[in-house]
Parts: sequence; C-alpha cells; structure tokens
Amino acid sequence: MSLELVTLELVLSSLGIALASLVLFIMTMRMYREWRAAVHVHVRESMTGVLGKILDTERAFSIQDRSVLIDGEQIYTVPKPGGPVGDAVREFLVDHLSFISGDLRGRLVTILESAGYVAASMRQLRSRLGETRLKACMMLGGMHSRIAIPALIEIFNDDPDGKVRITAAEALGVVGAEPAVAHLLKALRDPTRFQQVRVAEVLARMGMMAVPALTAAVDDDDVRMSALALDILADIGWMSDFDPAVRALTHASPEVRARAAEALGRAGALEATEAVMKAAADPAWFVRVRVMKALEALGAPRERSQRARYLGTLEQGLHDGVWWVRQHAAEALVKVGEDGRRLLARAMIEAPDSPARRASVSALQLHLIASAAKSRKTAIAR
Amino acid sequence: MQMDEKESRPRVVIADDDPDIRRLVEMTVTNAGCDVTVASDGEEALERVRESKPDLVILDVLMPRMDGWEVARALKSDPATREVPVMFLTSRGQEHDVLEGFDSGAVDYMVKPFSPRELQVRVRAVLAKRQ
Amino acid sequence: MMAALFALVPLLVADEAPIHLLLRKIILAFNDVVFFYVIFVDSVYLVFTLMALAEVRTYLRSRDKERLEQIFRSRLVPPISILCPAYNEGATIVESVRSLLRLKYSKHEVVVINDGSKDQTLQYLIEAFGMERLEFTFENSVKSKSVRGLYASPRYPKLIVVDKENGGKADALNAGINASRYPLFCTVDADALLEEDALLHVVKPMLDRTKFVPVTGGIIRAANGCRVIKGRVEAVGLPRRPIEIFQIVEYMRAFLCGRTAQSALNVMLIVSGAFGLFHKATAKIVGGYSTDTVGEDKELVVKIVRYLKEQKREYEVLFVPQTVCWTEVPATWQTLGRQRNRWHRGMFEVLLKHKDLFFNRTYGRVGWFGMPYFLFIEAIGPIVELSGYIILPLAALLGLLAPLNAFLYTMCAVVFGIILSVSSVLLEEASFHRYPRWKELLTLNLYAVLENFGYRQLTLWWRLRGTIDWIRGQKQWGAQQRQGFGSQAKAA
Repeated sequence: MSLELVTLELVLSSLGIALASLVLFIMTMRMYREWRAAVHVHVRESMTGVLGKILDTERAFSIQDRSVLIDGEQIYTVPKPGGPVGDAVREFLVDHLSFISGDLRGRLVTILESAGYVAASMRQLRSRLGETRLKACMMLGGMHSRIAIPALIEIFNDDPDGKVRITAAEALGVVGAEPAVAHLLKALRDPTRFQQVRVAEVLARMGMMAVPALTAAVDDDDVRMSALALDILADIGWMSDFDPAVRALTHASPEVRARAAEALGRAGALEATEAVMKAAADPAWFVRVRVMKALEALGAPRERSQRARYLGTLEQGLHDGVWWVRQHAAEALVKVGEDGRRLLARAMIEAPDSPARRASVSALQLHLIASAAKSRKTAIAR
Repeated sequence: MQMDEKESRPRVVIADDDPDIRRLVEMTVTNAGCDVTVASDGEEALERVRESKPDLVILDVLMPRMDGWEVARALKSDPATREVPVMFLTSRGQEHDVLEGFDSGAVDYMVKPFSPRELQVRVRAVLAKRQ
Repeated sequence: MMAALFALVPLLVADEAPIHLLLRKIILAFNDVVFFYVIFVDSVYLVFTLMALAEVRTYLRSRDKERLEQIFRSRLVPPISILCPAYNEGATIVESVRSLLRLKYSKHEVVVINDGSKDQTLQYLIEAFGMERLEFTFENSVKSKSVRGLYASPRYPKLIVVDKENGGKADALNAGINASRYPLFCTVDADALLEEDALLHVVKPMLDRTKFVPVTGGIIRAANGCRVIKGRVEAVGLPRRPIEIFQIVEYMRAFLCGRTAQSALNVMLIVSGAFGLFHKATAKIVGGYSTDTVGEDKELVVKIVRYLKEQKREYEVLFVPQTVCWTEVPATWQTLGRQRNRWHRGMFEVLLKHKDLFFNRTYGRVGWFGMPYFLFIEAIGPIVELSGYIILPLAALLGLLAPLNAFLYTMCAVVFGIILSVSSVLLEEASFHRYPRWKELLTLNLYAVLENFGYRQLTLWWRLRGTIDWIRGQKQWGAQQRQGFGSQAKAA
C-alpha cells in the first residue's frame, strides 16, 4: 500500500505549512508577551514615585474619585480598572498591600475603593465562570476592602463551586472580618488536606479573634476538626481557657491526644503541666513523643514535689520501648538543668536497659557539642 | 539630632531580595530622614556595610547567597563593623526565628507585613540610642 | 516503469521468479511498517504535547492563585526528608548541601549519604558544617550495606550525614530511607540544583488530591549555560555547545510534554532519580530501592504502583509541570552516549522484571497502556526506526522505490518530527517562558529543527546499543564525569 507520489507531496506540503504557522505563532505570542510586559513595567515605574508620596506619614492624603491628592494638590490620576493597564495597577497595589500593615494600608485600600477597583471585582463575583469568580474572591481578599465583606459572605454561603466558596472564606479571613471565623471553621471541614491547610493558615493569621471559636471547636464530634483546631490554636499561641485542650488529652482518638499535648506545650500552658505529665502513660507511642516534647517546652516546675514528679515522668520516658520517646525524654532532661543532667549521667551508667543508656549518651553528647559550639562562638565574638 | 542637614543624616543599609519590598522599605526609611543604600543579597549587604559604615542595617532573613543571620554574625565578628546595629525585617515570625535573630546580635526584629509608621518609629529609636 | 527500474539493479534483473516478488513485497511492506510506526510514535508524542499544553495552562492558572509560600509556612504540612546520595562529589557537595538547607519549606531535613566515597566528600562536609559523630542508631527497615557512622551538627540541626560502605546509588538511598525521620522523602542528586520552592510545588498534590498520591515529580532542566552561583541558578541561559542545546530541547520534550501527559492519564511510571518525592511508608513496604538494576529510580515507581494496584487502592502518580531542579547534562558525546545506554538498559530491566504487568487486568491502565507504551514506543523504538534508515535506502537502491518517493517518505517523517520538536518549544514559550531573550528563542527553534537531522538518530543509536548491551547482560554503570559547578560559573 505504498503511498502515491501526489499524496506524499500533498502530505509534505501541508506538514510544511503547519510547521511554518507554528513558528509564526510562537513569534506572535512572544511579541504579545513583550508588549504586556512593557505596559507592566511602565505602570510600575509611574506608580512607584507616587507611592513614596502616598506613604509619607508627614503629608495629608485624600482621594476624589480617581485623583490622588497630597497636601491638597493632585499628583496622580489612577487609571480605570480593567485592561492591561488597570490589571497592572491593581496588581501593584495588591502586592504592596501584602507587605505593609497599619494605618497606611488604609490609604492604599481607599485608592482601590475610590477608583472603582473593588466595585469591578465585586461585579466579577456574579460571573457565570467559576474561574472568574474565584479570581475575583482572591482579588477582593488582596484588596483588603471591608466593603466587599457582605458580597463575600454571600458567595461563601451560596456559590455552587466548592473551590470558590473556600477562596471566599479565605478572602474574608485576609480582610480580617469577625464573621469570617464561623465561615472558616465550616470551610475547615473540606475533604482535602490542602484546602484545610489553606483555611487553617488564614485562621492562624487572624490570631486572637479566632480563639473563642477554635477552643469551642476542640470539643467537636469530628475528630479531624478537633485535631485541626488544636493545631491552629498552637500556632496562634492562645493564652487562656486551656480546659478544652486539657480534656482533649483524654480524648478517644490518639491523633487528638497527641495534638492536645503539642498545643499545650507550644502555648506554654504551665497550669496544664500536671495533666500533660499524666498523659505520659498514653498507650500510643506518638502521643508519648508529643508529651515528652511538650514537657520539654513547658519546663520543670519550681515547686519541689511537682518537680520530682516531672523528673520522674521523664525518667520513665527514658526506658520507653520507642526510640523517639526515649530521645525526647533525654533531650527534655538536658534542658531541665543540673539535676536533669545528673539524672541522665546516672542513667548513662546505671540504667539496666541499653536503649535508655544510649538515649542518655546521645542527648548529653548533643548538649556538650551545643554548649561547646556556643562557647566557641562567644570566644570568636570576643 | 538635626535630620534635615544633609551631612548629618543617618545612613542606613537595607538588604532584601524582593525589589518591591526593598523599595518600600527604602521609601519608608528615607521618609524618616535617612540616607539609604540598598543591597539585593546578603553578600552585597556585607560589602555595602563595610564600605559605608552606616548607622543601621536592616536585613531580610531569607536572601540568596547569604542569609540575614549569616550577615549579622559576620558583622558582629568583625571588629570594624560590630558596633553597627542590626535590625531584622522578615516574614519569619515564629518564636524560634525571632530568638535566632536576636541571638545573632540584632537590636530589633520586625515581622512582615510591617507598618511603615512603626518601622519609622523603631528606626528612629535605634538611631537615637546610638547618638 | 517497472522495466526501467529493474534495469538499474542488476541483482534483480529479468528474473521474475516468485521468490523475488515475495522479497520485494516484504521489503516494501516493511518499509511501510517502519514509516507508519515512526509517524505513529510522533503522533503519540504530538497528542501528548497537546494534552500537556492544556494541562500546563490549567496548572499555571491555579498555581498563581494559591500563594503556596504562605500556606507552606504552616506546620500542618508534612515534613520532608531530603535524601542526597553522594559518591565522590567532593567538588560540589558543600555548595549542594547549603542550597538544600536553604530550601523554602516549613520543616525539612537533609540526609546526605556518603556512599563510601574515595575522595574527601565526608571530610569536606565535616569541616564545612561542623559535623560531629553521634551514637545514634536507627531501624534497618530496608536493606542496605553497613553504616560506618552518623554525623550531626549543632549549628545545622536540619542536616544529617550517613557514612556507609560503598554499595551503589540504590543502596545509599535505602540507607537514607532508614536514617530519615519524616513521613515523606525526596531523592535529590548531589549535583542537582534545586529551585528554592521545589518542595512546596511537589508536595502540593499529595495534599490536595482525594486519592492517595505515593509519588510525585517535577520538571528537570539542563543547567548547562545557566549562571550558577553558590548552588543556585541565578540566570537562565543557553550553553554554547550544540550537544548541550540539543539536550535542552530534548528535556523540554520529554519532561514538559511527555511526563505531563502521562501524569494526566495516570499512567506515569517514571520519576527521575534526580528529583522525586515519595511516601516513605509505601516505599518501605515494597522494600525500598532494588540494588540489582541500573534503573532503580524507575523500578521503585513501578513497584509502588504495582503494590497499590494489587491492594486495589485508588492512587495517582503525579507529575507537577513546574521546574524543580536543574541538572548538569553531559557535555561530551561519549558520556552522553553512555548515559543513554544506561537509561535504556534500565528500562529493559524494569520491563522484564515486571513483565507480568502486561495486559493483566489487575493492573488496569498501567498494564494496558503504561507498560505497553514503554515497550512498544520507548523500548523498541530505536530498533524499528533505525532499521528504517537501512531499509529505505536499500529499497531505493534495489529499485523497489523511486528515489524521489524514498526522499519524500523520509521528508514526511522528518518534517513531522520537526513539528513535534517545535511544538515543545511552543509549549515552553506558552507556559514557563524561561528563556526571555529573542536570540534564545530563535536558537531553540533552530535546534528543534536541527535535532531531527542527526541528533535524533544518534540517540536512537545509543539506545540501540543499550538494547544490545542489555541483551548481552552487561550491568556496570557508565561512570559520568562531572565538572564542578563552581568552575562552570567561572567560565560563564
């Protein structure tokens, strides 16, 4: 079935044409890209000079529609939203909003509101394309405008697309809207870990505002929920109401118990030391590891009988069946100070089981190396 | 402290690898009445400090070539530059990061996103202490 | 016309015996088979390219919205152990480790495995990082040669060095798996230059998929010609030597187009040894790396996929169309030839070892598409295509095919190949756009055309040699000579 000459010629020429148009297409794409980049650079350059004046705390700032006034004098007209120029302006301002906080941030937000950028993104929230709505949510979060809060809440409640809903919740968190906490907690139930992490990160950034709702979530029936709530609380470093976390130390799920120990340690919940010590007898080894770490973070109590029990708990940990637990127990003992290290030194020589001896050796060794390194460092500094 | 006289304006070196942040910090510190020299990575920062003997260095932690902590340590170990106060302005805000920052010899530590107003106040405070 | 043709070729003149007719028919038929095979293979790649284009665009759109960096500062992401086997890497090891320590991730450790180096690799590490020998012991959950010592440093708590007897790369990686602490491990070649956010991008699919993701990988590019300072690619550029530019175009095609499409079809079976992220528990269950093959990186993925299929678990092996690392590609024809030879032998070894996967219902798409793809397109490709280069001139010489026809045949195949090469450049331009200068774009296009005249055939030849060597049962590694990145940076 060898091909005819004519067919071959035909095939070859059409292939040639395809190739030529391909190359042409690449070149056109490159030219378009360069044009966009040029617009971008131009906008950035013109805005940078203006930004310096806008952020000058000594000068009075105001804005009327799209005119920026400094000390009552018009210095800049913000381009209309949309198009390559508008996009570049918005991107520039959003970028800078993410770097700064405090009242000067307000100046930039006002510009975005007054020049119609917020309104333009809010219009996009009604788009039929999920992609566009998602992008609009992102942008509204980035613009930090409180005007958009009701619209974002609406999207969070009603949008058919799960990804868009989460992005709306995230935007609410970034804007720092109090009602967002409840919505974010709902969003935390998302099935994928990645979305959970995204939402958790936003909650952690909201800080103290989110603490009451999170401590309540520790008692949630959903195991994953209480574990996540504990994780986020640990990140925020909450200061009061440790009771739910202490209760979680005896939760049915080892995952939750481990998280509770870790969170209490990271929060430095000294009043929970006793409860954490009790958790050292946990059947799950990874809970015991976290308990040892938490004890290390909490430090040894001053009061004598409590201190003795604290040291006793760690010494028990030295004889644990699991390497990790032994290691962390030993490391915590090193941190206790002289009496802890004495205890370790004794365990190193006298402990009946070799794992305990080895853990003691390596912890002491690390301590010696570290302190030697520190004294070397100070010697150099001197 | 006469800030408006050109010769007596305090000199500050700023190092950050993100050009936008660098410019923003530069503006803020210039608005606070300082002469600013910028560097885009750790090594360059070290060089700038060595040649200009500034009154303050503001460092980012995560920078290419040499991170902020390394720069601070290098400055502290060199007798010629160990008197120069170092301040960190970084997105790493966890406790151990802050501790590591102070451990490497910093006098102040600020976490991004930062308030330009607060940065100005802190810069002025550090400079006043030096006078 | 027939008579005229026969007059040209004394061999077949006049004799119209059936045997000759049959021979002619066979040669012509074979010729067609080869032609359509080549067209078919290129079409498969072209379809892959189109799929990749769609896939990459979607990926980039969503990536820009996610601000990964902020999210991954969270402690909630799983920590990663980076395993970096080193054998006689003294020239580059310290810089490599420094750049690994600097990666952007909330929690990672770097495990360097000194595989019984004969040079100063271990000493350099000890001096540069203030490593101290420790009395740690760890569980030997996968087999490896005996470990001589474990080193840690108080100044660099993220770094661990395992010193062991020489046992090859697979063996070293196994020791690394044993010594690592975290639930995920990432294998990295000692001379690979990682992008700062590489870990963020490859770990993401493990978190955002509802199915289990045991393995992910990313795009690997050729670092030749880039400005490399202190273990980091500072400026992307093209090298001067043609051999290196050819490989850059080739990597674009293989990684950007091929792997992205395979991943979209969930039949991906190759994750490069230079950079891959694995779920440790699963890798342990299948016994870690096999030490009896030169394609241990490919083989581990096949083993994992196989295990999961047997367990009837839903999984996805994913490729992230995101540049994760840069690696120095061979700069001499000799080393390049040896490398390709080794790769091809590795592929055959893996295919043979897992031959029961073929067309086996248990293994679903992997058995019906993934494995056959590797056998019929990747593995035997060189044999078929190269025989075409013999049979076509032969047919023309024997007068079975008009010279013009033969030429047009060849041109069709070649132009189709060029279209394929150029479209991978298009994909690069439409997505990552790493070569910003016009001159570079033109050079890439030029080489995309040129690679079809000689380079393609040369790689086929090496792969054919690999096939032959595999049949002969040779197994030694082609030792690759490396130049230090430091010296290259100076030269650039």
